[in-house]
Amino acid sequence: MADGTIFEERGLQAAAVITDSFHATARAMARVRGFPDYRVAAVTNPIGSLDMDGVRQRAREALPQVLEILGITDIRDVPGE
Amino acid sequence: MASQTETEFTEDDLRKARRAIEHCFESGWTDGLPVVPPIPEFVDEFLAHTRRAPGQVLCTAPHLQRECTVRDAAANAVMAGCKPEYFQTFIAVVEAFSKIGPVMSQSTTGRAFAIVINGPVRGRIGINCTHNILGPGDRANSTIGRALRLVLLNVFDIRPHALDQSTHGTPSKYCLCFGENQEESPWEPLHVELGSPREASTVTIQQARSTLHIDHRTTQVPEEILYTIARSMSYAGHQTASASAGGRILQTSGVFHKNLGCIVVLGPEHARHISKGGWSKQEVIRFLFEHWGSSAGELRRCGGELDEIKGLSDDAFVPAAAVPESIKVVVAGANNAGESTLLLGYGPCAGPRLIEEA
Repeated sequence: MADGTIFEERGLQAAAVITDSFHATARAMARVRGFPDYRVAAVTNPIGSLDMDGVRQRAREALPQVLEILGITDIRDVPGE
Repeated sequence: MASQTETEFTEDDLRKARRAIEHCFESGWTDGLPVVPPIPEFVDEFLAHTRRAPGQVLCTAPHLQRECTVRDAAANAVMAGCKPEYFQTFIAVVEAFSKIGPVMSQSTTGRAFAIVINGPVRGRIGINCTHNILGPGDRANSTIGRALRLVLLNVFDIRPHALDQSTHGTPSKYCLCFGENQEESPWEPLHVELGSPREASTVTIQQARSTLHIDHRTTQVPEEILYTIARSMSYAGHQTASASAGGRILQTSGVFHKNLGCIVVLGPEHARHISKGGWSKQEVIRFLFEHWGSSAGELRRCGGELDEIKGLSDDAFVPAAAVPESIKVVVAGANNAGESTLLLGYGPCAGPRLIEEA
């Protein structure tokens, strides 16, 4: 989260991805960093215990959100699908 | 106690004091326990115990855009219930802590910070080094340790349900501060081992995720005591790692976190038995290092065919730490039983930081 806001401060577009257990922390960090309305991509918790199929599923959750945050509209399919 | 209170305070004084304490709760300044209201007069009493400028920065958290000044430290030391004469020690605590960094306080693993005090300051301000050092009852230990947590809460705003992401936390997050029992140690104290002069007073800090009690009073054989300690250090959940294997991403109890750290709080009785057997502190650390870990088979049972153990037979020993310096041995506690305690977390430690004279 902090890294995402630091990128933004330096003029680099960034999308922070969290698991949905960390919404409160993400909101607090965004407020602290001076980006109270900062949007994040959130995927279902957990990540660490997933097998590779589970990780791919999380990527499918994250990708549309990341593209929207970055303002990218011309990618319609997840690669590999 | 009641009669003394009655002679010094009117009931109206005490009602007002209670309202002030409630005001601190309502303002969000506490760790869940009552604090001393930090009026400027009280803070100034603490500032009078240091030559440092009130605005000097002791610790920064760039990612949070916050810093802790001497005045901030004083206000939180007041709130924690410290005496003004503790303040130089607490300044050293905050400065040592700055080397570890407030960011480490946000982890889901809920880290406490173990503060070890060495040198003559222990006697001057009443740091407990013997009975019940990790428990309640001694003002200097309790309040200096608590003041660091209040700095994290009030200065850096690392609070539960927000920037503190601890899954469980630990009671040690309230306070974890004790002195080494140098007087009953057979070896050189921690600060001397780490390069400070013997006569110096110092603070050393290490992150600690948990405390683990070791009870072994039926032997005086050094190897038996030390092997018991090493096996206790090696419990499966203390070692974490991520690795990819067999098409699965695994995060498991198991192998190699090269940054693991452990303070072995060796009870004086254990230390005496080990020393009588002819062991130096360095030999103790080497033995613990060589036996801190698990077999590859045990790690596999925990769910990890990790890169580090690929190709190893089930009975191959996999060390937990990369270097012996991950282990610090501190002799502390009462000389009354064959007991020791582990403070398990991450290294390296910060310090020793010199405690200045006024």
